[in-house]
Amino acid sequence: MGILTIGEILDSARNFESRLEALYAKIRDNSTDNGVRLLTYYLARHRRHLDETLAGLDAETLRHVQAVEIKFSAPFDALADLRIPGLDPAKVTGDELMEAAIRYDSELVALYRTILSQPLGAEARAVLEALIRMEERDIVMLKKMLAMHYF
Amino acid sequence: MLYITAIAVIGGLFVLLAALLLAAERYLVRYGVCTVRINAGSTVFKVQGGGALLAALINNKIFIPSACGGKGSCGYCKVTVTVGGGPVLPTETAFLSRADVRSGVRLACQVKIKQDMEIGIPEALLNAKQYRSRVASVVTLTRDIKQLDFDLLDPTEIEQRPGQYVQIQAPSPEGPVFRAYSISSPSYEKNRIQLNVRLVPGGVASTYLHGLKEGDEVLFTGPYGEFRLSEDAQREIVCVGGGCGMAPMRNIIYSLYHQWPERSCWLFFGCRTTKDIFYLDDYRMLAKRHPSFKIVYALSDPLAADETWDGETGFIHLAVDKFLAPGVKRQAFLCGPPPMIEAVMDVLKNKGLTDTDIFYDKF
Amino acid sequence: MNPTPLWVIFVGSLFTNNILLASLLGMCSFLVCSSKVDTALGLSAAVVFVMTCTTALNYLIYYFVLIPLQLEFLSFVVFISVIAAFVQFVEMFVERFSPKLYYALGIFLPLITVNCAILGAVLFMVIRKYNFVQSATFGFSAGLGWGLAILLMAGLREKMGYSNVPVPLRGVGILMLVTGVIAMTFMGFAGMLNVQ
Repeated sequence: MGILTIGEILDSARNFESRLEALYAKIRDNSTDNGVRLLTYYLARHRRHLDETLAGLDAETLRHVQAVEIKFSAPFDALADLRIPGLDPAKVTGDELMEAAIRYDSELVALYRTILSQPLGAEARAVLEALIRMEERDIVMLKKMLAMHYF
Repeated sequence: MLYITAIAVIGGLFVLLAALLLAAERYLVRYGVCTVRINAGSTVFKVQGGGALLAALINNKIFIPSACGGKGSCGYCKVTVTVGGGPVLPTETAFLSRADVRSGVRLACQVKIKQDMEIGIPEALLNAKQYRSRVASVVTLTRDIKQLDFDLLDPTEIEQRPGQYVQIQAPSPEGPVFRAYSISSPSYEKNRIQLNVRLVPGGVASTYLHGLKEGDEVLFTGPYGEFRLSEDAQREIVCVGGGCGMAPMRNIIYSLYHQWPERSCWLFFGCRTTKDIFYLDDYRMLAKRHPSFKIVYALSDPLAADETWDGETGFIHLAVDKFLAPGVKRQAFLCGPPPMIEAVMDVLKNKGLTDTDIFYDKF
Repeated sequence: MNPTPLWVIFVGSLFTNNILLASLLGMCSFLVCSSKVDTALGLSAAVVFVMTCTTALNYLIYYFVLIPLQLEFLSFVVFISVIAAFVQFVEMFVERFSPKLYYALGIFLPLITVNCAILGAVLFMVIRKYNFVQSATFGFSAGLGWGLAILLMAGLREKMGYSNVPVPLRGVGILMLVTGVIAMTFMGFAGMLNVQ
């Protein structure tokens, strides 16, 4: 049985996002498709959503929530669960990129939902629900962008 | 015997405690009748306390926009609460900036009415009404975009400005949901509205709208939206759309030429292939009557072998950059996917437009 | 009958036999809700109220219902359900009159139900054979004692925010140490009175 705090899990989510940002930067450098390059600027900004969601909370609440401990059926490694599937930076298309971004968002949603299935305080629950909603909003936005058939 | 008394005692005790709690609930959780004052008393209503503010507003015919049906997931139903709102809840913080929190902006669907309240709602939202309408016609524009026309039944007239939107009520397994659609019919046509609807796979509202037939009844609320077309006839209007962001532009263009036949206006529209093109013939007809209307369509995908195309190629922000001369007084309206809007914003700012001249709608 | 005078019970449960620091009951909410004096004050008020009411009510039920009917074996079930009902009541009360405190306490408000200090106080009352007035006094002062301890802790934690705690001890580690030190200082009162 592993014990992690919500703060640690959020850190690993943040770490995952910065690795994604690096991947998008690599795609931007290697791709010849202008649409894909345009898209990577937008996707790379996703990392800010997490901090923006947390920035609305007052410091005391945030500290409270980050210190909440949760159990994972052993051995849990939050980082291992958030793998970035390989995309070929030179050949990826806009649609593939958006589909991949939806997958990454869904991974985060799944992670947050695992935490939510545990007993938490009302505060921590509200924060996680806000994070899930934020990711789901992003998924909806990406799906709409896919349907718009622009890139 | 012992067991029977044991059961009786436990049972009696539980009934007693339950009665006590019910009595407490009666006096503590029910809040009695509360008064809600809107915009310093311009509208006042009384409501039984304990419910959400959004529901109370809608019951009192104040249709503020909400896309999620009160689940706190869309962030549309922002109102300013000056008195009686209680502390900001964690469910709201994701939608409120620090400045919002300081000035008392709250999500109406999350705020519970527990005491007399003073709230502020923009005047424009107070004008929104609920409309009952009937589908007059359905036209397929491209493989996944339909044009729907609605005749208004009750009320029979709508006062809308170009660039505004309505909220369509669509049924879903979890109760009705509301989705925003820009009005594409010009604002001088008061007895109908027209929408352009792109089918989003898995989308509740677009699936519902695509399934409608002539004669079906639809409920919507509106109009909403802050955009105001510049009244300065010398100011050039620039519309940039991508993907399906066409509806508000169509409204703007037709309303514009109805009022100012000579006014200069550009329409830029970006899509991928010739199959995504729509309304181009309508616009060419309009341009024949109004030579100051200029149309640029750009395709971003390479052409198929058997196709011909005499317009632009590449992404739309490149076309905007190519055609617009810098330093002209302009107002711009953008609609499309966020990355397109960002790219076009950069181009327009280089041409001398400021943030106040540019209005955008990320669909 | 227990001959202890009321003032001895009062002072005793505040200092010498503090329910938290001498019996180490109610540690969970003590550790979590002591990060801020305001929150700690709110929680202790709730605990004082619940403890006073439940000890008094449970006294009446125990001596006038359970003993005459020879149902002592039901005492735990009865005690805990009375506590649960009272906590529900307090929860409604706090939500109504102080939503801010309601959100600050979060899950720990309903968790007073299973706060061992509350059940502990009721059981002490039975073991020590207090009469009704003694029980009510004991419940009230034990609650105050618990509140005193958590307020001390909250004050220390607010101060501790400015001190340089060794990294391995940060968090619960230093809290346990501080609790131990407070408990030891309170043992200094032990010679003053002996409460039974």
